[in-house]
Amino acid sequence: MTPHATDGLGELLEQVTGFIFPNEIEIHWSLLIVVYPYVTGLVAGAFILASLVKVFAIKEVQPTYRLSLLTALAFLLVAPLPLLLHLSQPQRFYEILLTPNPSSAMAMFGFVYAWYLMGVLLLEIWFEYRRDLVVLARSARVPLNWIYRVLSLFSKDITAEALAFDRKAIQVITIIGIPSAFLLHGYVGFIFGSVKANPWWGSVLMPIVFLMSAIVSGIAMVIFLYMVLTALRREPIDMACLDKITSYLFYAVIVDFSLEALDFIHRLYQSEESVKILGKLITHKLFLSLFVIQILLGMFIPLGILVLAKARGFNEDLRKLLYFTAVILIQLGIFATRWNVVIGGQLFSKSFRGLMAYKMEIMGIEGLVAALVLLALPFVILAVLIRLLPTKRLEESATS
Amino acid sequence: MTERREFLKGAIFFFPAAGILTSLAREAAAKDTPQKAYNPADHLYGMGIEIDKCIGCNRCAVACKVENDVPDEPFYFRTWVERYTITRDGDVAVENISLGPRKDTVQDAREVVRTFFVPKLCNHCANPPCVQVCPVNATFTTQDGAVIVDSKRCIGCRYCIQACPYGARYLHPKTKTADKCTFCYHRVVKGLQPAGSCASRG
Repeated sequence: MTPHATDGLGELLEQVTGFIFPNEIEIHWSLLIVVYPYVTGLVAGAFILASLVKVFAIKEVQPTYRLSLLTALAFLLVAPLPLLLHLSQPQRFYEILLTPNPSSAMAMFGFVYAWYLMGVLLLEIWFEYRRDLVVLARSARVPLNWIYRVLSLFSKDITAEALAFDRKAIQVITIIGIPSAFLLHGYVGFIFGSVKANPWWGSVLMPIVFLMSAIVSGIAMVIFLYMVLTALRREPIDMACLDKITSYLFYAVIVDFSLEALDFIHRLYQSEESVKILGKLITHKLFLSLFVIQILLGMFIPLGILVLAKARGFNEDLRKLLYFTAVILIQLGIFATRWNVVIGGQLFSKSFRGLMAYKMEIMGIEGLVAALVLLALPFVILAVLIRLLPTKRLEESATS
Repeated sequence: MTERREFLKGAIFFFPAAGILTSLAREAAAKDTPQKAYNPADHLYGMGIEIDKCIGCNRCAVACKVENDVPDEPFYFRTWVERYTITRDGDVAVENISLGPRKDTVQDAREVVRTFFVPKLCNHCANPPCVQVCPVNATFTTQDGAVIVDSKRCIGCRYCIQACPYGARYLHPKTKTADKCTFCYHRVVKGLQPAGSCASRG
C-alpha cells in the first residue's frame, strides 16, 4: 500500500466520533460504486420510456423512442466500467462469469446484465433499425456502407412481410424487456437491500425505491437529451411529446417520493436498535446531501416546477425552460440519492456506536476525475451512436 | 586385461542392484514411521473466550498480527480487544485498546458499575453471510468449521466486508484481497493452537 493511502486512513481516524470497529475506518465502496447504480438506473428508466411507445401505444412519445433506446445502450455499455475499476484484483474479473457462486446476488447480476444487453436491448435496437440499416447499406459511401452491411447482419429483405415481422418482434421483445429492465436495476437495489448486516441498506423496500428513482432519472435524462438534441439540430421541438413525457416524469416523481417517504416513516416507527445511530447519521453526516440536495433540490423543487408548468398555461418557451431546470435538478437529486445510500451506509459503525468519514480522492482510479470521465463517457458513446444510427425513421426524414 | 573385464562385469551388476536395494530400504524405513494425513471430517472447531478472565493485555491481538503478516497500522485487524465501561447513569462507553497506547481517561471509580474486556474476531459463523455473498466462492467454510479466504481467487469486490455484521474483515493492502481471522487454520491442521490463544489463560 502506498504510504499516501495509509496517511489518508490516519487522517480519517481523527474524524471518527464515538466507537467504531477498527476495520471500518476504510470506506470500501467509494465514488465509483455511487456512479454504477446511477448509470444502470438511467438504462432502466430510458428503456421504460421507450417501452411506453411500443407496449402501451402512447403515440405522442414516439419522437423519443429511438433516442431512448440509444441512450439506454450508451449507458449500459459504460455500466460495468466503474465495477471493473473498483475491483482490487480486476484481472480476475472473469471468475465472476466462469465460476460464479449461485448464492451471491453480485455474481448472478453478471448474467442479468448479459441477458439484458444481448437478449433485450441489442435485439430490440437491431429490429427497430434493420430496415434503415439495409437502406443505408445501399446508399451510404464506402467504408460506411460496409459498416451498415455488417450491422444489418447482411440481411436484405425489406418487404412488407419482413417489416411486419420486425414490428411483431419488437412488440415481443419489449414485453419481455420491461420485466428485464426492472430486474436489471431492481437487482442493484437487491444487492444492497439484502445485506442484513447494514440497517441503512437492509430493507425490503430497497429494490423498489431504487427502481422508481431509476425510472425518474431515466425519463429525466431522455427529456434532457431530446431538448439538447433538437436545439443542436435547430429543429422545432414537439411540444405535445415533451408535455406528455414530463407528465410521466411527474407521476414517476410522485411515486418515488411516496416510496421514500414510506421507507422513512416505516423506519422511524419500527424503531429498530439502529434508529439512534441512523438519526445521527442523517443529521450529522448526510444533512447536505440528503435534506438539501436529494429532497429539497432533487424532489420538492422539481415537483413544484412540474405542477406549476401543468397548472398554469405557460407559453412554450417558459415551459421548456422550466422542464429543462427540473430535469437537471432531478439528475442531481438522484445522484445524491445514490450517494446517500452507498456512502451513507458506510459512514456509521456496525456497532451502532460511532460515525466515520469519507474522504473522496481527486486523482487515482477511484477518484473524482475518474468518476467524471465515466459519467461523460456515455454521452460520447451516444454521440457516436446517433451519428451511425439515425434517431428519425429514414422514411420520415425523407418526407419532412 | 582379464581383471579389468572381471571388474567391469561386477560393476554392471553391482550399481543397479545397489540402487534398487537402497530405494527398497528407504521405503521400508518410511513405513516404520507412519504420517497420518489430516482429515477435516474428524474435527469441528470452536473457540471459547471467558470475558471475566480477560485482563486486556492485548498479547493475543499482537500475536495474531505477527503470525499472520497483518500490517502494523491501526486500520487492519484480524482480532482486537474492546473495553466496555458501564457507568451508574447507564452509559456504556466502548474503546478499542488494540489501537495502541491510549491516554487514560480519568474515571471516577464510584461511577463505574462494571468494566470488562471483550476480544473480538471473526466468529466463523455457522451460516456465514460473507460466504453467501462472495461472487466467486473465494471465501468458504471448511468441513471442520473454519471460514477462510482463498486469496488467489478473491477479486476484491468487498461484498463480504460489507456483509459481515461484526466488522471482522478488511482488505489486505499488500495482497489486495479480503482478509480476516482464519482460526489459524495453518496451525490447527498440524494440531497446534491458534496463535492468539490467550497468554493469560483467559
